[in-house]
Amino acid sequence: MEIKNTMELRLPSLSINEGFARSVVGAFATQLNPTLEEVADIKTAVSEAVTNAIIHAYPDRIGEIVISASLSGQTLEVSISDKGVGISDIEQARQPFFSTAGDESRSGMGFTVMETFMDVVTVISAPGEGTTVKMVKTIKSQG
Amino acid sequence: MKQALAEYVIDHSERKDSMQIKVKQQDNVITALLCGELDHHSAQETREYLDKLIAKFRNSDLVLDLKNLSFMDSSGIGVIIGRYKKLKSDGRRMYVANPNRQIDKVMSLSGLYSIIKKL
Repeated sequence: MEIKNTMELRLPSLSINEGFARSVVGAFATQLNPTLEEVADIKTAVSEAVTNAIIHAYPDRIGEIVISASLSGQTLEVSISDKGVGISDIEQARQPFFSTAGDESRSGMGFTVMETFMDVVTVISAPGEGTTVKMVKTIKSQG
Repeated sequence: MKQALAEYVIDHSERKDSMQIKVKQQDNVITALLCGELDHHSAQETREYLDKLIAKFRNSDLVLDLKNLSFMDSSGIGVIIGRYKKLKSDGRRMYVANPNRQIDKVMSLSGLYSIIKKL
């Protein structure tokens, strides 16, 4: 029987945790023996999702971000959840160069980076309830 | 871009975040060597510091040397495009040099190279 490995990380939405969060998921994924480029892809996608939660989910307060990941076969599944303001128009939020952050703190490319660097990106969100971003990546090459 | 680290004269080492910037200014070119990780957390200080440099050396172009930058996400794209716009409105130029593979992918994806030349 295939053994599934899992991890969960709970963090306050402080920007100093961005580097920690992406490093943890990147390190967890190394169990799949990925290439350096695949690890970099995963870290970048996680960084985008966690940064979105910090900036957009909790614009006026510090809230909790839950990062959970699982490894099954050669596939990593990672989800980044918050209980923040939610996204009213997910399709619009996923458009390249769309950003509600007006102070050039983001380029509007967060979801585009996630979609490019991961195989599947699913966004579940409701205004006032929060957002979950689920990302899947299968490690193809044995690094 | 084969300058030794020792040539960089201003060491902005009082920075508290995950970024350090070393600067050299010569022949109307500011070279800023970014060291560390450029994400949303380090973006604000990086942006402020580069703006000070741009204001201080009024007639210089800007080269961002990324050889010691180990990570950058789309927050870095915002920083770079913002500085590019500032310089361009002054008739000044901006370049990037030596991005690693991960940073090169993020910059290509965002279309950055259509406006900013890689040295």
